[in-house]
Amino acid sequence: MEKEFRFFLNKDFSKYAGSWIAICEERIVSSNKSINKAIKTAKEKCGGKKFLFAKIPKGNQALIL
Amino acid sequence: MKNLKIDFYFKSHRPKHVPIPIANAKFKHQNNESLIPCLIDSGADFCTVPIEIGKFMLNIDFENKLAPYEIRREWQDIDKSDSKKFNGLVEKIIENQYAIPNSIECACGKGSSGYYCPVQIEIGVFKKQVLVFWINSNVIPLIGRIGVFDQMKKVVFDTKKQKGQFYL
Repeated sequence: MEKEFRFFLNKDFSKYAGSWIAICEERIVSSNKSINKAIKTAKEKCGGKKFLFAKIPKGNQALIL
Repeated sequence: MKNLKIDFYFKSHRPKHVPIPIANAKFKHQNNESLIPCLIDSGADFCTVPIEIGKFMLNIDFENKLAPYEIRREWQDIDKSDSKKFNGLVEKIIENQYAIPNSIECACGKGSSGYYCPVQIEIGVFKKQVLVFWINSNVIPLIGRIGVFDQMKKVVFDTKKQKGQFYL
């Protein structure tokens, strides 16, 4: 399992509810409700390194998909 | 041949909330790739990902990949319950890397537009070109049945152990 995914599974990101987060080398490098803005910042901060990109659901929502 | 097993895990996004099954999925298009945790959704027909991820992380040019009119028409008209015909058309779309504009309605009743367009999905040892629906909506990325679940011998959700397995 990649370390970014392990970090994602094990940490509580509830303060980012409703946002997208980018994780690079076990730290959050970007968070934004806008996908495009979150990606842009992550690319700038990661400098070509791979990053994990995830949506943190809002806490008061049930998933009905 | 022994079954190949791919583990997935459950995660609660907040304390006291229902844990959801998450796959560690890698999406690849040409030289671009992105690592995106996806909700494993057995109720979703297609893997579904926000279109902005396709555009800005994978650099997919959907307009340039637009399928010819006859293919788009065939997609609209085909009997999707005829798996042989339908899978044949999906293979044709994948082979030609076409994008098919479409709209869908989710289980919650909301409608949205987007494109069907193939990319490579990797989940552990599973690696395959899959027709993904790139949706104009800020949704959690989903791993659905067509192209992923239908390639597996078995999928196990073990909620007590908070993990699951795909068996290839």
